Amino acid sequence: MKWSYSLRELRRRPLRSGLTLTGITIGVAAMLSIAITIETTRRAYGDMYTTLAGRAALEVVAIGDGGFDAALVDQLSGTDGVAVAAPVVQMPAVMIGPKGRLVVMVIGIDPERDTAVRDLKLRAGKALAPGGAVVLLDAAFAAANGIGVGDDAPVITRTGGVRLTVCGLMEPGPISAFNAGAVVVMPLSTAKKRFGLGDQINSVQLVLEDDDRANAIRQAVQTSLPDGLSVRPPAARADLVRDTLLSTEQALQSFSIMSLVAGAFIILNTFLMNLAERRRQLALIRALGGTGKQVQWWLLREALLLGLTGTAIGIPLGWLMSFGMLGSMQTLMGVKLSAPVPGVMPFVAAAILGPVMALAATWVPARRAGREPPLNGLTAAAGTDAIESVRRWPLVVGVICITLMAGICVILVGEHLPQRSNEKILPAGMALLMIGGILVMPYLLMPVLRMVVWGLGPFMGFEGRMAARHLDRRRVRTALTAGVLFVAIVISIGFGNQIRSNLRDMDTWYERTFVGD
Amino acid sequence: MTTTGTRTTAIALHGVHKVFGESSTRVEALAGIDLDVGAGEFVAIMGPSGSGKSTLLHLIGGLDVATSGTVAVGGEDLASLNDDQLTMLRRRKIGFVFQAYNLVSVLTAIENVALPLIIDGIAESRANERAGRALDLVGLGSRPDHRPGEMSGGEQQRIAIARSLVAEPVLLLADEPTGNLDSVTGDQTMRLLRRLVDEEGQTVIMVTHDARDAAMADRIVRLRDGRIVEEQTLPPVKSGADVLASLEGLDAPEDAP
Ligand SMILES: Nc1ncnc2c1ncn2[C@@H]1O[C@H](COP(=O)(O)OP(=O)(O)O)[C@@H](O)[C@H]1O
Ligand SMILES: [Mg+2]
Repeated sequence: MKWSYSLRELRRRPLRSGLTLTGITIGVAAMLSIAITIETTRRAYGDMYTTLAGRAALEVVAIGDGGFDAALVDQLSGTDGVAVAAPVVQMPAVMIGPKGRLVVMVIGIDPERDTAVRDLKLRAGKALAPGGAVVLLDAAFAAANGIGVGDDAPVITRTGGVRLTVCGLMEPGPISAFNAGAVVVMPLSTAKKRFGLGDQINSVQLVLEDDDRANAIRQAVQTSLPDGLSVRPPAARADLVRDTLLSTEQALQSFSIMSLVAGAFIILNTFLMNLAERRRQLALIRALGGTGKQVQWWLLREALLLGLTGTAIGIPLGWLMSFGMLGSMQTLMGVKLSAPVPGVMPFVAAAILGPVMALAATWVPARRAGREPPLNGLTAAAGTDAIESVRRWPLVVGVICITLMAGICVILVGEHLPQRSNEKILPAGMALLMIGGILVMPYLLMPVLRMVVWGLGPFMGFEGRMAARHLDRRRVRTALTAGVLFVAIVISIGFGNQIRSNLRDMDTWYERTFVGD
Repeated sequence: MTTTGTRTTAIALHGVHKVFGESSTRVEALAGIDLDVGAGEFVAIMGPSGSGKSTLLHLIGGLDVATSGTVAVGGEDLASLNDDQLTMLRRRKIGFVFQAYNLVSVLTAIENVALPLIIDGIAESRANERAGRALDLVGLGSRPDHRPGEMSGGEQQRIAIARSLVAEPVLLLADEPTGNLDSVTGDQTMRLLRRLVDEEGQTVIMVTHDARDAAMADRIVRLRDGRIVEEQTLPPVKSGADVLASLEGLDAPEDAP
């Protein structure tokens, strides 16, 4: 059979085909844009920390991105092979400029030791004096915001505000790469004192005598560190701050999987509608000598066509969406994220996923349609009025899915597993829960529907009763429609909650790192 | 032309029973049918609604299987065929014409006619060529590119007949082919079937309610409650009026020639 016949079938129901297409497109686009966003964000963090670290080949940070005692700096300086150990603190802050509030990152460095780590070339003004109430700004950032040397720079953090003076403007360099130049560099001692940080720092950057010995030195340093601290190459710090990223990534990944599942259910739903309408046509093909396999393949081909088209639209759309998402990530994380930097994998995955999703959603009903005896669809009695039978296996599979998810929750709550594996399990768990929910839905839906009908019975009138009976008859489809709604609600609530909890996380992180002693 | 004894047997049914449902819903649609149809014969099956006419046709066409008894088409016992083999039988040996023309609405006339060949994997150009000839045969050779929705009921039924013929089946089965047509287009359709039998040697088994349609056949088989209650061999068809005159107890048609 010709492909153009399939195309004509699809065009015959433009709305429905369009809906299916939308389902696939959204699934593919969501999956792709989220993969790109996560990858770009991770890479941006890695780049940022690498640049920031300058000549330092290793750095010591707290696992979980917290602060630690500055006394460690001296111990690290004395370690064999370490040339300089430079402490750094950092914290998000707001600076009041002539044009309004600016969200910045305060970076406190030790002006003397720091020259060994990175070169801060000045365009104007002079360098930081230890202990001075002065700051350096990125020249471009300062110019853009109308700030010059000698200007006041009021900086506000959680622990209060301080009035500092701009002493110099930096050429583009390691520090201005951080946070898109929205940085306020000040002497470490000033930051500690003015912001009440006590003796807490966030990292110590280690410039080595010989970078080739980095591995050996790293091991030596690691053994000397107290619990909870880690020494590693600067880029690896991205892995540590993922604690902050973690819930966002989880939310995004869950959202991605839910979009795919939702898309698949939309496809399945419209596909079942098509099948019900086309029983006669399919039976005719069988009567004319088409085999069950031919009918199945004919139907799957329509799904495949939609899958391919949806993917073709979804990939560029996903690419576009990733710009928007990166924008939100940027706001959420306070990290400068430039254009999306995708690998090949997300695209390959998206290209495979769309068609596979379309085929997976339609495989079973298409096969069943192929196996149906032709006579069922040909005889006059074969309207679409037969009551759909509800089978037992979806209930069983659904309950298993939900039970598995419950098990996962117990494990997660009990914290039996390392954090890293949580983030892989959670999205899968969400998908399980959703699939389980949709599969179990018909069994819950029908009794509920009957109760509603019974309760409303006297007020519903003839048409209401007809409608209810109609829903009851189309059990699978009614359940699917309810399923799609369910998914939409879960997504909205889940996603909203995740973002809220994410913001809360950031607060906690902030408090833990900078406020609490 | 009218006796079955002198020609090869196209189909043979012996002691055919067909039961639907069980216990309380049990219906014996066919209750012991014996019937032979010779090659090139035109048989009309008549009987009241629910007497088992369609069921009989479905069994002969391999769309359903008998509960007991044998149904042989071209000497082949259908009970011995699996689903795929029955499919091949329908594909290569049987042509179906339904009361509801059952054309595929998204396909043009010629594509509908070519459908059985396309299903059979025959190349499109070859299939179209044969479909074109089948369309010529039913007098619609000039309208290959019209969609079913753009054609009258009679034209659609002629396309369905062309489709049933395109694979050159040994047997053409028609279930009330004029049931949805007015009397003029119905008559045209019947003359077409008659011509196929006379000129192409086509074997036709047709279910009908309409005595005038049945009068075009070589033989009339009457069913009641799943049994054959009467068989009537008709004289060779000369004209519709002759046949009508030879039939007892029938209303004379208003628009007979
Ligand atoms: N698929 C079926 N299931 C149950 N009963 C059927 C089925 N098909 C036909 N019947 C019953 O078999 C009998 C004969 O039907 P049918 O062959 O369609 O009659 P006719 O075509 O002569 O009107 C009827 O009583 C009908 O209800
Ligand atoms: Mg019938």
